[in-house]
Amino acid sequence: MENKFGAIVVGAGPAGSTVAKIMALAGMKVLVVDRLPEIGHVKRCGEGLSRHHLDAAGIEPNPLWIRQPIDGAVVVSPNGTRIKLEGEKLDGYVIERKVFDKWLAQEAAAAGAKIQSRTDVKDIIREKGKICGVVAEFMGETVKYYADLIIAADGVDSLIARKAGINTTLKLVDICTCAEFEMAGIKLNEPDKIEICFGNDVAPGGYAWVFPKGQGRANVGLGVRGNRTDKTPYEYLKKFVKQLGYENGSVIEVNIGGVPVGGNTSQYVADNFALVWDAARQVNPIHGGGIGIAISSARILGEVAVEAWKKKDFSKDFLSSYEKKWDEAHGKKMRKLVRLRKFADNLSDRQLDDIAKKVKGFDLYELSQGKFRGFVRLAGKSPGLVRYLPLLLKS
Amino acid sequence: MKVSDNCAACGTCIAVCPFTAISMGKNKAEIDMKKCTRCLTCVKACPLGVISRD
Repeated sequence: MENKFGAIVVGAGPAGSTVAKIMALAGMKVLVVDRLPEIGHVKRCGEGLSRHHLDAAGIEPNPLWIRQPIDGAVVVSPNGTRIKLEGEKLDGYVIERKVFDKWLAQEAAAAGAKIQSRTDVKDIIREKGKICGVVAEFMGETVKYYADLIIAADGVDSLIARKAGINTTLKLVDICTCAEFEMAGIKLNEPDKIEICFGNDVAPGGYAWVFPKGQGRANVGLGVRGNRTDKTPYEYLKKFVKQLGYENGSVIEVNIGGVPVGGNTSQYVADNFALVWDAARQVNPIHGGGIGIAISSARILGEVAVEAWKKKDFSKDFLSSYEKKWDEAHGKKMRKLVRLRKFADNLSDRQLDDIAKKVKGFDLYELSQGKFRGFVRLAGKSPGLVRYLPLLLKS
Repeated sequence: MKVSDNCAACGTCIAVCPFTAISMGKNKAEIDMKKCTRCLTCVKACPLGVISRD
């Protein structure tokens, strides 16, 4: 039957294409649908990607989608104190998502997956209560596709998870709402470093960023938390652009989006169903980065999906090995980073400045990786910070 | 509740609606008033402030 597949993946972003490729390579008949007419456009992303994520995924950096190699970061505290982070671990790139996403989709297609864009999934199909397909709109017609496994890789606004009975609703404190301008014709002081600015005046509950893309371009954006301010991130962005002296620069793309920062959803499989990446809130809660974790999570899911297909067992029980393997690979770090975020949520601008004065780039990097020891020693010497340490250390 | 044409279809409102009352239309978010309780969570979450009470 032409509408019956081994698995249907909803969403052809990096996670969807990666899981589809793995399943297709193993011989599964895979359909990937994406509601966008063009995969990867418009991005909801700052486009930063660490080198180690590409290495882990076995993906060679490709000039097709690399825009700017990055070899460090500058973190700016509320009063302007600048901390430089350098070293191999900071190596990365600012990429072009619209090319990268399509490139990954092409790879999945070459592996045998069938990808169909401009296909908007409206609902899940159940037969006697069992999930067995999706209903979608494609080119003005309602279409039905059937499969034993439905994978929701459809982003932060995924509704399919809820239709499958998994509650992935986010509280305001757990989503960073963001506005970004891709700018051109601007002068970058450090074209090979990303810049990250904290502070309640700059970006309450989030941070402002400049991610250089080469040739006088950069993604200039910021995220705020809706429970911390009545103003929109767009209003803060206008101020930030002026602060940078970029008000006469060109805006060649406007990107708006929400980033989950509350850690992954606790349940992300059900009978004949699984979630991955933004739909499962598998995103770094400190810096909001997700591309690396998307590919890694998709690989873990892909391998479990192939096993399930071989055993003809797509039950929640069997698929829960994806949750176990994901937890082994990412769970501990994710929980630590959520604690770190909650800890940082309590810090005033003055305390951030105080930390910035005392901390070194290396300590900050370790902190962002969920390694707290160095920082705890530092904070232990500061009476104002000590009282928040339990938040950081509580398990 | 109203969603203005300045909506960027980013989906943040959909992610936070406690009542699953919002879905993505062709160009902008659509609020199902049968499910909406006017809790205004979407209003607070929206990056562009395009949602308002009627």
